[in-house]
Amino acid sequence: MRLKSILREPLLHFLAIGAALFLFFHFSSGGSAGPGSTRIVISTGQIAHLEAGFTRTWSRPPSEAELKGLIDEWVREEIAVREAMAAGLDRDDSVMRRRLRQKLEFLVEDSAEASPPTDDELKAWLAKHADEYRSEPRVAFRQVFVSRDRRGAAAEADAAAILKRLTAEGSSARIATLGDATMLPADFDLAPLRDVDRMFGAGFARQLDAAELGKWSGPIRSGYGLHLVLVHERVEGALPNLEALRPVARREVLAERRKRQLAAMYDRLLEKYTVVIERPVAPQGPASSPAPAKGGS
Amino acid sequence: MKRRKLATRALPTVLLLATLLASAPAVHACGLESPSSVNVGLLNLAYPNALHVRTAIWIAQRDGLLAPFDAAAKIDPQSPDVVLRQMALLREIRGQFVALKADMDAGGARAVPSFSVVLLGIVLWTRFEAGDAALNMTVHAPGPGSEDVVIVTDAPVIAALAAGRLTPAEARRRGLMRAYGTAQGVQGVERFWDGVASVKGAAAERLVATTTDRMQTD
Amino acid sequence: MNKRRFLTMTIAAGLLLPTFGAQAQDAGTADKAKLDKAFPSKPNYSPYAGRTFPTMPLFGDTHLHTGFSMDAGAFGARLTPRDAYKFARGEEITSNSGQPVKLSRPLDFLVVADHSDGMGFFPLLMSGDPALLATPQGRQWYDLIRGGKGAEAAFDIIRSFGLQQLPKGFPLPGTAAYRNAWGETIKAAEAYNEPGRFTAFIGFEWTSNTGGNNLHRNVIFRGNGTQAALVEPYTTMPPLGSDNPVELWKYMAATQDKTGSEVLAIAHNGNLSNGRMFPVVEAFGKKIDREYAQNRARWEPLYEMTQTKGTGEAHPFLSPNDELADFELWDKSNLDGSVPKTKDMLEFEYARSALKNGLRLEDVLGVNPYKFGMIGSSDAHTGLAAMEEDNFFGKTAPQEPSPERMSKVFFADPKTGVKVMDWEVGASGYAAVWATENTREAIFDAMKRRETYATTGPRMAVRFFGGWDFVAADATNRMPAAIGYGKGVPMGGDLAKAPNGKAPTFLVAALKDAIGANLDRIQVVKGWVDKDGKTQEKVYDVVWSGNRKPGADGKLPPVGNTVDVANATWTNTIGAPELITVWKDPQFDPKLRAFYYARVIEIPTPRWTAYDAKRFGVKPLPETRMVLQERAYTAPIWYTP
Repeated sequence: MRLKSILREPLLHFLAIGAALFLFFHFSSGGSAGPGSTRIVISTGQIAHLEAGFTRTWSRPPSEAELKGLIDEWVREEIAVREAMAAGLDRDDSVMRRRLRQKLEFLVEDSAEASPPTDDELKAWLAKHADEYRSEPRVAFRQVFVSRDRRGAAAEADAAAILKRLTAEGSSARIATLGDATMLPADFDLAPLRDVDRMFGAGFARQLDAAELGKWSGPIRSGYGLHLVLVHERVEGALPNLEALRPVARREVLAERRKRQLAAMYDRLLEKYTVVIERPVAPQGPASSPAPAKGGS
Repeated sequence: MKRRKLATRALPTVLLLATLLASAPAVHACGLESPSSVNVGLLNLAYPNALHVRTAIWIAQRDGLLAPFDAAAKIDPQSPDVVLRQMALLREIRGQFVALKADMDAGGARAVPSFSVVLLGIVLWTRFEAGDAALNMTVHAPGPGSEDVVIVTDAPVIAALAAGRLTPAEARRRGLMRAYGTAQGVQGVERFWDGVASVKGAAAERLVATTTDRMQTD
Repeated sequence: MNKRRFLTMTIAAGLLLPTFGAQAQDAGTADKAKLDKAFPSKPNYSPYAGRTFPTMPLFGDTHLHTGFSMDAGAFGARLTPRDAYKFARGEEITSNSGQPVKLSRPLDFLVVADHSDGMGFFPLLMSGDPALLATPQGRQWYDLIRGGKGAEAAFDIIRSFGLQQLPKGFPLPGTAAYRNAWGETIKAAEAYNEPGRFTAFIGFEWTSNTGGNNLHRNVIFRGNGTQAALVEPYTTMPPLGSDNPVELWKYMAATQDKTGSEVLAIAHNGNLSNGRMFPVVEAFGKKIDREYAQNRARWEPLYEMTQTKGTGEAHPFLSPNDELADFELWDKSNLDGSVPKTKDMLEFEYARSALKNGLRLEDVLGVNPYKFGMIGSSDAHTGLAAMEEDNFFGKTAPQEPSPERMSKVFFADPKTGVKVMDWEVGASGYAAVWATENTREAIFDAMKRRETYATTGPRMAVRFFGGWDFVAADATNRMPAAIGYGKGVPMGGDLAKAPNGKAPTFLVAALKDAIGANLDRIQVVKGWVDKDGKTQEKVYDVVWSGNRKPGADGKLPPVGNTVDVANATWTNTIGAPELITVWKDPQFDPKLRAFYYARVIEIPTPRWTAYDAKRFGVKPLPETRMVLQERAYTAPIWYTP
């Protein structure tokens, strides 16, 4: 009676099935089983992989002899790995440990990419990083150059006189014969402020800022001389829309997601472990607050 | 006695170092010309950003914290008296390390992780290992021990430390010394050195106090 | 002309953006036919459409090394190609010695050209690469370096490299390590290439250095990363590589075919090649023949005239009548000082004599092998293209600013007695390119047609046009660029078969660097082959500042000197901000081959050594140069009878 009810116990069935499965897999060992198994199988996929690698380097597929060499090398490596692991050589190797960690983290990172970021996520990121991606303000202007080099002390007075004339003629004044000839452009089409500074020297764009739109003013000074300017267009810096920044936003959001997931993974795993830190014998003497460890990359 | 033995043992190494510095073969190819630059350069790779110490030093010299840069003190490997000048320099540095070690011993024997100090300018290694009674110091060591904490710095800083013009904490804060190793090891060494400095400071204060007392009674 | 049409038609006058509206009022001889050549299509609503020529010079560096180069890494460079691009684009970064550094203005383009031999080796080794450290050789190098015996390690590495006894894991073409290093180089360029704003070229340096004779070339790709990734850089070690330029050209031809991307090579300044850069009789055991000339001219349209290891335009020994020939010369030896230089080598390693010999060879071979445009570049091994005198970060990481660099030895060979000091390293130079836009394709194409000039650091804008019909009034024209392109050819171009009785005329102009020093003068250097087949040269002062007059000896008096060395300052109270003129060759013989190039000279300014002396309070060594006159050299215009 007791035996019968035991035999009907689901747990027993469960254990029995588990044992059967275990025995089945232990004795069938298809494919190349892991360390401990003495059977090595190199699959067609593996061979194809070796061939592809060779072809990439040498721009042609390997010959029979070369392929055999590649396979031999692969087999040796497989044997060495199994023997090394069996001997516990993987245990304290710091380089190996770093690589294994790297591989584990890659797995997590790969899963982070599995689902693409939603538009809401992208918009949130864009809002947070707006300032970094704001486009530069642009300006378009005309200028008349008055050369201090050619006119000497009279340059300032000349500039004032020319300004009067320009103001009289207005924004479409014919400037081709006014002031002095120069390689600098008389008409500067709409361009970012940094291009203005690059051409006229640092600080020129800032001086332009003060000029009233549509009116001749100045003279502004540059490393070349004096300039009478008319700003006829100003475009404020704008935040580009999501479409323009979509690839950048996507990249950054995924990167942040990867970081978060890694941190979460470690937090979760840490709960599994108990960490004991054995401190060295503390040095006797005046207790001084430990300085933060420096160095390393 | 121990000192003399150290000196005679060190002499061949000193001479070897001197000849190496003086007549190291120019490394041919891709412009690898100056061996000392390559030694320092590769140190910068082995101990990332070790070269930052050099910048910190000239900034400290400009700010008056360290003795000003002295071009005349540079030893030209091509000059005729290079060996003599190098030996003089090494003697001077060795004296400073001896003074430092005396401070360390004065504080009593401590268990400190072994560490090596490397001077950037001439790539000179000095090892410190905790012994039974005191620290064992090897000047002109061939290199750091495999487990050593490595401290990167340069001669002017050692001079200032030995003379008590600079504390290790201040040196670290200004980037005049950089430590490389495990977090535990670095902490141990820094704590040890700070302990030495404060003992020295306390002794100096006591000296000042007694001097003042004496003056007042006069 | 109604207001609207005028507005739409008005394009900026001047060299950089010419105008139609100015036609009626201007002096100068722009006529419609000539302008149509420059603006072939009918004027559009947009004044800027249809413009076919470049309007702004773009400045860059074609020769920069990062920690990926073996020697840069050996000297302690830790900056990567990405850092290099960030810096060139104008960002502030931290240098290898921990100092914040930023350019005064961004560059427009950059080629990170790390040495192809052993690319990426030191970062790989010092990061503890398992493959390398598993080998006893790799482990030994690693330990030596950690022990501060880097020189010993480097020496062994170089020796092992020469003997081809390298450990598994060493980055050689075909290995995973090499692919990674090249891949990272490509990725960095792709990440920072921004058409219209900044161009990052993919490239590498082929480092032929046999016997210490510097025959390096920088190879630049016109195309993108996908194309460049189809090949690996050419090295100097057989069987995959060679130290013979002829083999490099074969690789370049194969690469173009395989990748679909054009490539070109720029030879390193020849002043350390001990006479092997511009051979005229034989090279590598083979006679200089027509095939050599064709290939050389085809694959190497540009030449690096000036860089940190000196300037190689002219030498006083070769040009005794050129009082400005003695400029930042490095003429003591080959690259490592192992073989001192002798006078007979100079002719075959300086640009001017090479250009002259090229004309002579054209007579013999039918092709001119040395028909190159000029550029400047840095060859910095720090990842920092920082070549301004007041912002010079040295050639190697130990040469970054510190009091020591005023007195240290750069390299010395005790056997030969050759010694070069750190102070002799120059804060030079940059490449200037007249490209129609800031993209890989436009800049590369400008390099191929040689519309380039070299500068020793400052960013002057220089124009040089050659033609038969320029007249004096063209120099007062408000749109000289349109005139120049309309009536002649730009720098790098060709003139042929002089029309009866005419001599070539040149329109040359220079605008000073917006934040730099005034100009002293512009010269035209003419080289030709005379009736007896001998090469000749003459330097003409064609326009200069102030009212100086040539003396009885025909020489122009110097412009003066406002440099206060102690304070490292100067003033623009001498010189001129702009110079422009039209010049005609007064001694032209239409039957003789010739070339002409312009040389623009600034007024004297403090050298980086003066800035260092002031900032560090260090006394310079007695023979240190503290002042210099920066300059630009344009590509030549060639005349063929």
